[in-house]
Amino acid sequence: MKEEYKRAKTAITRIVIDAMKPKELPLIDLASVLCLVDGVDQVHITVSEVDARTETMKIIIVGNNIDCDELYKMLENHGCALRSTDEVVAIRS
Amino acid sequence: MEISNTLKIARRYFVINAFDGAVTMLGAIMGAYISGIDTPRVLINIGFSVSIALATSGFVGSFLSEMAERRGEIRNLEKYLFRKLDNTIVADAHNFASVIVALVDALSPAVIAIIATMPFMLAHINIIMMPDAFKASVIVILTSTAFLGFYLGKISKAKVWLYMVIMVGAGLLTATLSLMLEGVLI
Repeated sequence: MKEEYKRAKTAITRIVIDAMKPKELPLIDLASVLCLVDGVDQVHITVSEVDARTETMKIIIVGNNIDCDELYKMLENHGCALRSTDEVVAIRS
Repeated sequence: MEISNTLKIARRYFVINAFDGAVTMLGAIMGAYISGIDTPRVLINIGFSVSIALATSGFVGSFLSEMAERRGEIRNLEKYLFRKLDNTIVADAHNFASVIVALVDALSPAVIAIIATMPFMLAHINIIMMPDAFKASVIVILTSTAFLGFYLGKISKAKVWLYMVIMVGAGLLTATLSLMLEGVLI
């Protein structure tokens, strides 16, 4: 069992992130760049709250083997503030 | 471009500074005319000096003010996001916008000043006479102000002719006031 655990490889296939972005950053641009992250197939962004300077959004990323580090880095580079990771789906690959 | 709203601001700076350059150059040319300067070389030197001065003041002034304004905006946005925005696309977009706006601010008056100097270059190589060069230069400047008025009218989607009349009127007023100085001062 322990050996099998060591050999097993996992892949993240779905991740739900709660984040905040500057209002001037176009939603379409953000969704497009997130789609370029390794292992990402689909990006769904829903704006849940609009403030004077910011927008709070729920980002649902679906893929076959999402590179989470790159994903978070991409969000940071685009000026987004990550609030929480609300859901993750991992599979044994 | 979209993040930093560059196009809109650059367009505004273009009109303001191109008009500034045209009227400044008109003032310089009328000053030379009432002083009885009839050497094309002097006018060419004045034109290029004015052009360099306008470009320098335009670039430095607008770059510093845009940077200060945009840095303030970024710091304000950081408070809302509870994070630093250094080295992000948002900060880069604002820095890029400052450079573009400063370039527009520098080049628009400088180019108009050089175009207004061209008749004197023609006079220098004896293609036209000096009095004609003065007239041609004033006509070039007034035409460029009319073009700026036309451009503003198109942007505002309002009465194009009204903007043209106001812009050309401001140029004519400058020329008239400058001519009235003849004999009043030294």
